[in-house]
Amino acid sequence: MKRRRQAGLTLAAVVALCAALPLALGPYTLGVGLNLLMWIALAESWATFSGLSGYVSLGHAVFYGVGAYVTVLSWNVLPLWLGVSLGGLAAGLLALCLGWPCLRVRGPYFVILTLGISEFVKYVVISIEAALGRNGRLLIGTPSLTILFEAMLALAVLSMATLQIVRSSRLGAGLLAIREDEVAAEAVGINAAALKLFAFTLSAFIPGVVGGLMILRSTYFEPMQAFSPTTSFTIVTIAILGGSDKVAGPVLGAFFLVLLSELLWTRAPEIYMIILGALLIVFVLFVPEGLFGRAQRLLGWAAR
Amino acid sequence: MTMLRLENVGKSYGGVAALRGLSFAISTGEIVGLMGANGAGKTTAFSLIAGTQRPSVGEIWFDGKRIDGKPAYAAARLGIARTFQIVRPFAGLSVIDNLVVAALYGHAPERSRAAAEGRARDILAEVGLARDATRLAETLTLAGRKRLEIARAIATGPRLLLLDEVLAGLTASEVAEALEMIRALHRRRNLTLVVIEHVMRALMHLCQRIVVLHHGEKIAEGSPAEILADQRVIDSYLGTRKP
Repeated sequence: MKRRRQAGLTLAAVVALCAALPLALGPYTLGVGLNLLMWIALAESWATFSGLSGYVSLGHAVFYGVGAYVTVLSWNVLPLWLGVSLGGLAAGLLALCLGWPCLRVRGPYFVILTLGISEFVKYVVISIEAALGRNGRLLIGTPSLTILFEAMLALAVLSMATLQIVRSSRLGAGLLAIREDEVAAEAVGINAAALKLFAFTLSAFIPGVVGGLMILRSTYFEPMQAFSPTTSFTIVTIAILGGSDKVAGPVLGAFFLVLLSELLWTRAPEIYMIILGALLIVFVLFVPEGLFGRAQRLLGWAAR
Repeated sequence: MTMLRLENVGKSYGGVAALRGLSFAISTGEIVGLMGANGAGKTTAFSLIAGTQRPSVGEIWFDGKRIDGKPAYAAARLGIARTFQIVRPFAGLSVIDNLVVAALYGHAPERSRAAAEGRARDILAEVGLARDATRLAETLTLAGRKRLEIARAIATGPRLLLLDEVLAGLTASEVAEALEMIRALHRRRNLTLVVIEHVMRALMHLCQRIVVLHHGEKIAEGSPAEILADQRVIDSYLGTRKP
């Protein structure tokens, strides 16, 4: 109990420190920080469903995109906070609709289906925009980088807390059982279909809000970019790098990937994607448990 | 009092009938054996009762409720637990977490994780796995995994427990230990048991009644002594001793 309180206090101090960062950092560094927080928020929310249930989703980009789109549509129509929140809710609602058919299949079929459906939604949005005669939308007068940074920090914390709470709850126990053996999970009384759908929906809210915030940062909405599958791939990469069923995993993975990309991108712009690709292969082959899992093993921490 | 009743239950896969016109009833507290050669339809019968599969025809009643066609999780929540012939532990979870999740869902679910862990520890002690509680399930021996399979089923708080060849692959001394454990569980937990087993001697000692299947049909039902003397069972399954 004492250790838990200590950990809580340390965490609160770290968050407070992060919240004070905009006072000290220049716009470039703050931008990198925003990026980092964004990937933490996204990867933690992804792990809440995919890390715990073992259903690897390549559909997170669609929730990000829908959040961005709803925020853009409500720009100057609704109060900003409401528009961004609606983006999250719309993403959740979409997950509920997509999860219904997608969650009936497992393994590689699920992976491909989520990717396919998110591409499908992207082209639907492109068609809608084309029909409306819109060729990209510009947002003028968006909030400052500092405000976006603070909001993203709150989201990253919320996303981490969600994973932690779900992980130690009855829902989390059920999802882990589904990951290990879905037939056996049903045999002990777990309604796998309902649990998966609930967790899938829950995990879509945060990327929706993140998408809304990031479109305020880029100030320009273009569906090809907002719905880019690269978002999904990067999230999975972070999860593989860090390890994906504990809170610390995606944080480590995000730090590693964002800082390394930043470093490589400035020092070796021609080959940085090649290095990242090679690194991913190395991790899949030699560190399948991720940075956090490996660190735990090296330090001899308990498995739980 | 009748707990489980099968009425004219059949299951076919495409044109192949795995089970035909199976009827039997089991009273509360009984231990009933299900016997028959490989492919006789024993595991199919379990899957139909536990909701893993739907019967093609017939009705299954549990506790006065019709349950055929209900999904597996619903059967588990009603109080029917099963083990799998080829064990299916939650391999990447610790031994105790295998039971905790069963205690959190199952027939008599615990409200809190702490209570679920308490129940899990009690059961692990009963089946002799207390020392392995924090090990990953995948690191257990076969005998250990069979025990875990039973322990996890017990953790759901069942009223009817279906044991599918939990003795297969065990050494003679492990079989004796496992039988003792099953008897103790039956006594202490007011369970009703249906047991699929090939080890004849075990069935004879454990069961009050035996149902014999052959090519998907019931060919005999009775006390162990009656089954041993039944000419159809001898012809189709037991065989005769050469003079």
